[in-house]
Amino acid sequence: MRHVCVIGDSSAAALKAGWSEIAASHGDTTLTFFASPGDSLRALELSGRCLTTSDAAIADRFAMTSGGLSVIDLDDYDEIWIAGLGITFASSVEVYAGFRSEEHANLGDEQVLVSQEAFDLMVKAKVANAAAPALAQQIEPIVGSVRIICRPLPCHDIVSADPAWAAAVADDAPALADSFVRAMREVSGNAMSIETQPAALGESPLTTKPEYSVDAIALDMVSTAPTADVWHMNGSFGVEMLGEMLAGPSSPSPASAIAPEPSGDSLLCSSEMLQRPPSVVAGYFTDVRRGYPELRSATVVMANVAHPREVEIVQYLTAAKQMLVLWSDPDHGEVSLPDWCQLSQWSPDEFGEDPSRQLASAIGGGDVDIVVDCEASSATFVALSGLVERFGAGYLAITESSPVSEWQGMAAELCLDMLTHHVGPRDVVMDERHIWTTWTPSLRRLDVPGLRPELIDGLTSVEVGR
Amino acid sequence: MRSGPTDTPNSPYADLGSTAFWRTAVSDRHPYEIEDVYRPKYKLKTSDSIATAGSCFAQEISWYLRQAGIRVVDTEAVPPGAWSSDLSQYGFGMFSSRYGNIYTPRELLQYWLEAIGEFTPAEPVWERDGRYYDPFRPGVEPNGLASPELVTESRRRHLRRMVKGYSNASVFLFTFGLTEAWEHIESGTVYQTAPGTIAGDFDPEVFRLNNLTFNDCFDDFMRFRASLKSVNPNVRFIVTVSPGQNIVTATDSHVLTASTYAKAVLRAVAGQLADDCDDVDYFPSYDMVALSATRGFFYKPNARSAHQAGVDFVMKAFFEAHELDMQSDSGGRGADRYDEDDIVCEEVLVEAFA
Repeated sequence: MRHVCVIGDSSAAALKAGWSEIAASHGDTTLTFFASPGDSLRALELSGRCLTTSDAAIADRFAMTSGGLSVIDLDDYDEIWIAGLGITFASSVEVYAGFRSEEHANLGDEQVLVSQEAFDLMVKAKVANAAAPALAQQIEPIVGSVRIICRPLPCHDIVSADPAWAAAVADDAPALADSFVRAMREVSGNAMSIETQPAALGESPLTTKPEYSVDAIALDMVSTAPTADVWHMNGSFGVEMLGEMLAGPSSPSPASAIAPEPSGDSLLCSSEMLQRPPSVVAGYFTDVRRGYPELRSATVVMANVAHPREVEIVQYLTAAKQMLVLWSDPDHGEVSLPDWCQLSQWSPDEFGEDPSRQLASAIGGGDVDIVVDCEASSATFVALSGLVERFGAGYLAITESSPVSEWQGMAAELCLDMLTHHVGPRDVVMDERHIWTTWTPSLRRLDVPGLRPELIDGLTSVEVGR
Repeated sequence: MRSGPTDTPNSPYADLGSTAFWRTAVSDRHPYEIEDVYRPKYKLKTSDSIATAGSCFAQEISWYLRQAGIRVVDTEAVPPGAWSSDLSQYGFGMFSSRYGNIYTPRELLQYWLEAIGEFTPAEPVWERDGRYYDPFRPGVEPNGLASPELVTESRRRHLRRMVKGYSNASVFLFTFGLTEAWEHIESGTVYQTAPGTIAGDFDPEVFRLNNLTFNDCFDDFMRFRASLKSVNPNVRFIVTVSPGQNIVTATDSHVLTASTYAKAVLRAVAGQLADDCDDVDYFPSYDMVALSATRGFFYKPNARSAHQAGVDFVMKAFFEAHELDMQSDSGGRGADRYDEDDIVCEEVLVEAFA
């Protein structure tokens, strides 16, 4: 048996009507419809391997159209089809109503005149911003590639009612159809294929023959005269469209098995920077600074502080008012900070099995937003990684390295490993991860998307390798 | 009468508030706690419709205004559902019309006069590699158009929409950016970028640098103001100075001193306009970002352009002063979030020549 789930807007009604006519001749196939009008299905949520809704009206629509089901269990189906949900050739005509491209035959008079690239970008955005691609991308890891059925082209009668459609069909139909097809190709990717109606149903590249909108049916099952509803089609249209769809692939393409690569949002700079003024060093880390309005009230814990400059730099980076310095070496002198920054010092007596618990206790039950490790040794790494995980804090590692020793390199690798594998992006302040370390010969070059190339060129430590 | 030794000295500074003294207003405060810098002459309302133009920084102000639910005039808005950040590279969503950055008051005046039919620019189409560009907004079509006629027609429609938008705005907001303008020697026409940067060719016999003076900038804006008020008598103005420093100078000066000069001139012009005209308000974005009070806190590492957090800070002050809800900040942005990388700055292109 081939079990197909059709999730759609009102355009699914014609498919449903068509299915009623041909179901008996497709005994090895089931089609289950989950339909709700307009843009309402943007509210669908993926819960485990099911699509659910907290909207009672949508749940009622689902129950009505599916025969009693209000939740879509994706494991129950071999294929998922999405009908409509914003994917429509009308996108290009809606742009055409206000804009003309240099390649259009009809330049109009009032419309904004733009390049073809600009025009296509608008069409592409309309396709990309529709509900269907987002839904397809959401469920693709579970069900594999999803087939999206374009909304029907409007009945050809639209040309007598709408000047933009009249001009589009008369003068620029192929160009506008091409714009939409280009947009579909760019948006669809691996998560979806976009299916258009058979050419035989069309009166033009942009319209459907009027006969398919006679007794058009929408989701409310109310028949309307063709001139009143150019957007919905009848059961005959559904039969033809389903014929194309059922003749298509009977099994979905496999879901992408490629796990996302670690983003590597890491920063790398040289120890020379510690010799520069804190404001200058902090300035290099724009992605950290991006977050500082929020970090102004952050609590920052710094461990292994070996130089007052490190505290000053982090204070500049974060603008934090609360900084707790752990394991500060008193031999390195007084830390001088602005008056608005409150500094505390604390050292644990000894590490227990879970030193992060000690640290959490020392903080007094408060929250920790950023953990900074100024020396990234393996011992403190254990404690601090526990603290990071306990609080979901951001992590910043500084490895002072003069001279660089092998264990420091290993420690830095450990930090990177933690960042890329153990600390999810959601656990990090501002959704970004930062490691600030120094020349570590055992590290390969890191990607540093937050650091601009011209800055990288100024850092001798970036081009490191085995 | 002199006060006696035990009396409080009689001084004009004696009764001033804390914001009058640098120590209490600035030195003792975290940069984020410097307050009450902006005291608007009039309060914006959500019913206002604001037309915007100016340098790169004005794009950011426009974005924040939209987020706050204030109607920013957009005469070339993309259709519903058709927005993507890529479109900012084509001049969409930046200002009230697709004119790109207008760096100097002379460009603003010239643009407006052309739009209302009182100015005809020299060399209105530039060519590069078989494509044709509008030299007054070359960046809005990065790859140009297919023919000079298309450029001319596109510009005609653009200007027509601009006039309509400006004529119906209740507030016009302009950010002064530069004093250096590239000028057609014979006609005095100024261009948005130097010929040869995006399109066209630089011929020193035809074009020259004009580093506008205080009087130039002041007079140009006053002429623009008078002309706009002739068609829109109730319009009010907000002027700002971009905290972004010059990327380059074509003068003989070091870029640092050239930029300092430009900002000094433009800051003085903005202040003079606000002092002289009841309908012109000065919003001190430059003062809040660029000066020593904020210790360079709000600049990007290049020390040239304001960091997003700095813009957040400035705009927060703007909305608080106008008693409006900012609605959004850098931490709470959704899918349509403002991205500082979306800010388009034609002037940046000249860095290619550095």
